[in-house]
Amino acid sequence: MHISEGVLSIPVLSAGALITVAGLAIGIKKVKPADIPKVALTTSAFFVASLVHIPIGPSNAHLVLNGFLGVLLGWAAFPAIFIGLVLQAVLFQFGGLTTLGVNSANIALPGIFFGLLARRFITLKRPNLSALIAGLAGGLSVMGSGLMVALSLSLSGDSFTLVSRLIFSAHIPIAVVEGIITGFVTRFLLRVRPEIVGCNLSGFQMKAYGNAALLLLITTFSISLLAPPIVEAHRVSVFAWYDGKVVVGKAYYANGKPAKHAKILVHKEEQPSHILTVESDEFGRFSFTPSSHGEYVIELVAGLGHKATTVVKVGKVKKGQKAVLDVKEPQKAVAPTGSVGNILEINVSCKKIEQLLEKVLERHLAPVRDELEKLEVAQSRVTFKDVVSGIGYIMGIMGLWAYMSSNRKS
Amino acid sequence: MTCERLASGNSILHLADPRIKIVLASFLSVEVVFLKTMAALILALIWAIFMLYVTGLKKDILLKRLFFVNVFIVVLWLVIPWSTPGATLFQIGPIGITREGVMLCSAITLKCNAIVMFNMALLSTSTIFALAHALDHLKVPSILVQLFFFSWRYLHVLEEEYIKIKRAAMLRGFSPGTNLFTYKTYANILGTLFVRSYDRGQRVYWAMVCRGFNGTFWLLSHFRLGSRDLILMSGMLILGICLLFVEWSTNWHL
Repeated sequence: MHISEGVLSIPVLSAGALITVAGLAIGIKKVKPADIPKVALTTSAFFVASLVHIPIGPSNAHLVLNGFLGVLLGWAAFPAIFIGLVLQAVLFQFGGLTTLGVNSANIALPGIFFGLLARRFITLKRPNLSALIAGLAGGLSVMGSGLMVALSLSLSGDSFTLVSRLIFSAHIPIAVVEGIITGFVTRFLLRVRPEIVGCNLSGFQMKAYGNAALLLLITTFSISLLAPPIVEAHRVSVFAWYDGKVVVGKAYYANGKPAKHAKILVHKEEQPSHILTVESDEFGRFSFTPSSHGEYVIELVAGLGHKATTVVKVGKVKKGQKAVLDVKEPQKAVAPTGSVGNILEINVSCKKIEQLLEKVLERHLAPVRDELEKLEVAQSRVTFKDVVSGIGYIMGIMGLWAYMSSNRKS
Repeated sequence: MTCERLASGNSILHLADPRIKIVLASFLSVEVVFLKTMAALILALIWAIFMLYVTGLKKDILLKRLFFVNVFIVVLWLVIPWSTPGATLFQIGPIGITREGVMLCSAITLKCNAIVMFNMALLSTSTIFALAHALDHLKVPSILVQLFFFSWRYLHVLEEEYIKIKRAAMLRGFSPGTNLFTYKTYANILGTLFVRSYDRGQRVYWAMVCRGFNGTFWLLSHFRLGSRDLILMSGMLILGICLLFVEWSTNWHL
């Protein structure tokens, strides 16, 4: 759950801090002086619950209860979770000052979102259904936190991609247990002391806002939850150029990783049947020698119907190449008579220079091509970040909307 | 609960003004996060260890705390060195350990431990009450400070309640396992805990209203900056400048 100090990049840390400041501002506004002891006591209970270890198979995990806190407190859960984390940081050195913002946002936002959503459906009349909904909210909150932890890690650098996936999968069993316990706690409270679950500390309830808006929010949220892995898996790109003799190219996924051992089909000028097949190597690179001039369509087939195409023109450069090749023949013929005619000598040296230039340019252009290739990769990677920022926008709009609706009420 | 164990002592760090300590801890944490060169990070870590030494706390407590902090770091060490692309340092079977991965992990380890040690030396050496008091002086929103204060005040009470309920369950033959019954029992324990905390919160509020509580949190004592605090502050500022100097003058990048 907690991300340690010194791991995340500075943009991620500052984004987390900003979100937390905004969340705290909303949360503090919801807490009236009369609510302070109740919110504080719930915070203590949250802290104590985080010390409770629940057995899961051979291992055990401590509860997070962010979804349940969202159900109980609404937006006031933000300061509650923040304070819980401050206490943990000072007392146990779990998390710390610089990661406080990111960690609070990661735990509080999903909890508040699903908690407020679940609160809408919790009634005394149907305690079992209410418990089920609260349990779902509890489980989904932990999943949401896991996703946000994974996102904060993977946005901090490509090296963390694998770690973030591992951490996300580690959240799945915890989410299941958390969901079950949240459901049972809700049912217990509905039987014993229903006013606690129904307690309206935040004064926030989505009454008149239509179910349509709610459904829209749920669908966008769940789509954005699912989108990153799908987008990442489906997008493949191929980039190729002609260097005078051979066509060289690179195949990669949208996250910048090379497509290893991928099948590449080469078509000639939009003809349906491919003229040859090549396979990319360990680094996603491939090359082939074109047999004649014209446009070549290079198609990358990365399995499961993921395709990418690019077009390479073979011809104009080929002419230059021919010129270079042509040089050699007159050169041999000219060499013995070179000392006789001045004009001829200049002619030859011009061609020699051209040949040399060709070589030098080739050498100098190679890094530029590499750069171009990297740029292309970086551009296609933006799509992944777009999805992430999309989630951010949804969260932001949700916060704004909640804030405005709360103002209207008070 | 043995939470505030680090706060007992009478070193210069224990006696210093909590306001100064909060400001210094925030400043140093942020500065260390921004550091990029190995030399500066190592210097920060050495300073942090030195500060822990100054606190005069027992080594076994400190090491135990640091051990738990480094669990996450160990996970990073297990994954990042081979999954980061870069120049291969050495091969273990089919797995190549890259220089970039090792450097990244070392930097994270240094950063994390340096920040945690600074926070241990500066923040954990104050009691939570002193910190809440200092936060109020530092103009943190009053409601947040009050929440912080009350949460801490009732933490032990609730923990005792939890231990009592759990003991009662254990006495009746409850043994936790991976089954629905265990989860249900834990849920009921937590539910009871929440009911009791809610009721107690209500009673505390009424008691406070009886004593004239109107939302203002009065501070009766005020901190005073002494020469000790000035020494601490100037020492830390020199360290901060040293770190920046090392950062800018070396090329030993990640």
